[in-house]
Amino acid sequence: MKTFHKLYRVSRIWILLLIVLTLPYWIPNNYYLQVANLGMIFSILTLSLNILAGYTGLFSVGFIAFYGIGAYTSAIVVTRLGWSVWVGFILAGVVSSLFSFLLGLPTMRLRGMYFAVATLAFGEIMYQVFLNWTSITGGTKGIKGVPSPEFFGISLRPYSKYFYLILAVLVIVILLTRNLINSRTGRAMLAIRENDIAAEAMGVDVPKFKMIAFLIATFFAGVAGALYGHEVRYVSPESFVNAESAAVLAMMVVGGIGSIPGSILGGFILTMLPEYLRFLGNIRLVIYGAAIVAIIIFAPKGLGGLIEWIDGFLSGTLKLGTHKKSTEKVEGENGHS
Amino acid sequence: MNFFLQQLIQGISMGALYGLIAIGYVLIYNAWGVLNFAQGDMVMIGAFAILIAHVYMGLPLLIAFPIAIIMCCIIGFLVEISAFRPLIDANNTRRLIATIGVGIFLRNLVRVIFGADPYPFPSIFGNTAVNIGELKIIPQNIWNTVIGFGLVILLSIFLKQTHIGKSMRATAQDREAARLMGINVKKNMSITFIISSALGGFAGMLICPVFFVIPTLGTLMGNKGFAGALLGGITSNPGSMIGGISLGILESFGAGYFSSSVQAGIAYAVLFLVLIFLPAGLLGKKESRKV
Repeated sequence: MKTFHKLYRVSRIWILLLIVLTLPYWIPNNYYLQVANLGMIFSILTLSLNILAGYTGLFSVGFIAFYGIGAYTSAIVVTRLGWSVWVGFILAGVVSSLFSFLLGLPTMRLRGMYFAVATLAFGEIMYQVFLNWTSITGGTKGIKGVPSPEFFGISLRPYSKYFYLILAVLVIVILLTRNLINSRTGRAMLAIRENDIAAEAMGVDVPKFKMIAFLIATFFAGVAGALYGHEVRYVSPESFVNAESAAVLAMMVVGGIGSIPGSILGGFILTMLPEYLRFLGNIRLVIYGAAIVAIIIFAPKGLGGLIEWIDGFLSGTLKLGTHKKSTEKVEGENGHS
Repeated sequence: MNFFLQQLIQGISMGALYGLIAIGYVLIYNAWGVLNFAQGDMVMIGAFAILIAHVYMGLPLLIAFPIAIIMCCIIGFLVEISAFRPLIDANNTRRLIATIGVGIFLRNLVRVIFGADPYPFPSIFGNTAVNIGELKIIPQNIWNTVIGFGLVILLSIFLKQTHIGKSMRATAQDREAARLMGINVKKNMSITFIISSALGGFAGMLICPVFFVIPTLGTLMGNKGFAGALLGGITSNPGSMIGGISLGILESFGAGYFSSSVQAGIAYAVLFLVLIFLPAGLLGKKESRKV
């Protein structure tokens, strides 16, 4: 058994890499490949929401707006100004961060739910902007003919090639997030999540670190939006309605609040699942709502907790009883505190 | 001057409904410590409840209203017992997400059952305007105001004078202490949720003839009610009514003196401005927080 654990610990990353790298060959159907790509884009988006909500405790209920800003920015600079798609990707993140900076200036002092409400309002307002600022965004018609990127002369238009671009971005985002969480900034963010007043008393500049988390998260969200725009090659306001924010929130909660593998699986699975459950139609969002509540009640660590458990079991580091209840740090907190 | 008064009356009548929704937010915030993002959806449930009772079942309004209110109470109770009660001692984050989940669930369940199309609802109090002096007043406006204020006064009497009301306030003030004093906290939570569901639902029923009945009604009215609650001070019952009416008047003047497209943005503008400059609202007390 010991050798098995050792073997698993050495090989787990390589097995995972092998599975992920060969994924396009497992999914021969072009349609499902597109859905898989979309799933990975949502993984990036979920992960960025997790930086904000899961690690810093700032719940954004209008997060899809930043994804939309990214998608529109890239689509506009590429189709209207004729700039390179790669510049579009970077600009998408930068402009998205710029918006979050402007929104953050007045709202960074707000606590949990007030911030959530401010972002809700922001999401509604941005949707109206996408819809009504026809000269820039094309209104309800959206922007058609968003080109695919080229990589040293190779067109990334086929979904099987675009897959690797998204994968590369996803891996970069994962590594950056992991390093961020283990850095001084990341620890400050966690301290703010656990208790902002205590964090402030310990010398953490709360508004500054909240802002940093907000800027980083929205940068990733903007890039994810650009990836989406260049994948489906069409950007329209319907993709950025507030119901989508709820879907991303569901992905984060199902995946596990504050869990990187959870976010990736949550985003991926909740994007793939509805495609296989098409007969359910509109019931999808009903199930999302119920799933959010059920997971919050019964399994607050979500899929991430499950992965941790399996990983711990296979690698032999699992101590019985330790995987439970470790997140319930502010248990019993009074409503008014 | 007439135009001014006309807009004022319009604003007050709409604001009374916002106040009713707002007070639901305040009741739950006080008792539970987080905003109930599903409160707006109770407004929508109320609208659909009266649609079912009055239009589908063909009951006269006097019977349809109580039935619809009972439906709202039952749904509010079911939501509380299934989603919120298990989280009574959980941290704020989990509770907040649970309310968002409940909102998504209710909104889309209704959408699945009734479809996304808007349903028209017949006028309750007639459409003929009553002339008072130079003013033309639609009876609906008067009734909205009367019922809105009436319910808030009833509620404050209930909270101040009855045993249940007093124990509800005690629970809101300090749940642990209330529990030690022998107050049944769980029961009080249920009652709080039922009352705020009923108030939200009532606002939804009164709104029916003005708006179409549509699953997203809750999001729209919920945001308005929430803006009202925040403006009045999220912890204050009378404040929420004042906040709601202020918002209604602002919207009405915005639509009357500028354009109706301004109206939609006012609630969000108020929301932002209050959040930034007046976080405690008009009547709310400044919260002191402990670690």
